[in-house]
Amino acid sequence: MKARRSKLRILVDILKVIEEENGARITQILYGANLSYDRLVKYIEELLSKGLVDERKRGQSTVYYLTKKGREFLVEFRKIEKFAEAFGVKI
Amino acid sequence: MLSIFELIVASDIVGSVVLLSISFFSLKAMRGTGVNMFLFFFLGFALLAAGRLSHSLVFITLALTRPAKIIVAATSLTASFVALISEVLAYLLIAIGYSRHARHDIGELGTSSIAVVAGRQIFIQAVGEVLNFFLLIYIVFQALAVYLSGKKRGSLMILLGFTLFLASHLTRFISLLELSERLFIASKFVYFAGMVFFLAMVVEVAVSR
Repeated sequence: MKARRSKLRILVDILKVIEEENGARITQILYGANLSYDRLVKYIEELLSKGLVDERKRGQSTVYYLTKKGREFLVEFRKIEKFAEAFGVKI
Repeated sequence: MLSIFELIVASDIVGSVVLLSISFFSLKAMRGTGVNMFLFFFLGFALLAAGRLSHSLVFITLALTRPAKIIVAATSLTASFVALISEVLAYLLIAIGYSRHARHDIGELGTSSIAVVAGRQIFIQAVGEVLNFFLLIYIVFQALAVYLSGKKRGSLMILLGFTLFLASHLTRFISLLELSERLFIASKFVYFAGMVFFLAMVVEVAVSR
C-alpha cells in the first residue's frame, strides 16, 4: 500500500516542480506534483500567502515562481530530510 | 605537547559541540516535520552533551584551582556520578525515540585514579556502564535496521557512531573491572572516534543544498 503524503511533503513537491521548471504553469504543477486541481489551488494559495511562491501573468496564463524565501525553505527542507533519513524517518 | 589529560578534556569538549549540533538538527527536524521521535533525540543528545561538557568543566576547574586532594576526590566522584546518570538518561531517551518510530519496517572525562580505586564508585560506574551497554545495543540494532532498509550514507554514519559508542562503553566497563587506566583512556578515544562519524554526518547535512 502506498503511504499518504504529508501536507509538508505535498507543499515541498509543488515547490520542487516550480524550481525544476524555473517557473511553472498550473498544469505543469498538476502533473509534476500529482494532485487534483481543487487541492492544488488550495495549496498554491497557502504557498502564496506564506510568501514562498510568487505569481506572474505571462500572456493568457499564470506562471508561478519561487521567491527567495521559497528557495531558502527548500534548502532547509533538504537538510532536514537528509538528517531525518539518517535516523530512518521519511518525511 | 598536550598531555593525555588535556587531550581527553579537548576531545570531550569537541564531542560536546558535535552532540549539541545533532541536538540542534533534531530540534529543527522536530519543528519542521512534527515527528516527535526527534524530540527524544533532541533531549537525548542535549543531555549527553550537557553531561560531558559539565564534567569537562569541573575537571578543568579542578586542574586550574588545585584544591585539597579530598575536595578533588569528592568533586570528581560527584561529577562522574552526575555525568553517568545523564548518560544513562540520554541513551534511554534516544532508545525511546527509536522505539517510537517503526517507519523503517524491518562518559565522561578522566575519572581520576582516586575515582577508579573507590570501590563504591566502581560499582555504581559498572552498573551505569551495564545499563548504557544494553541501551546502546538496542540503539545500534535500530540504527542497523535503518541502515539496511535504505543503505544511505547518513544512516551508515549514525550506525558507525553508535557502534563505536558501544565499543567505548564495553572498553570502559572492562577498564573498571581490571582497574586499567590504559583501557579507560582507550575507551575515551574510541568514543571520540564515534563522535567523528556523527560530526561527518552533521557536516554533510549542514553543507547540503
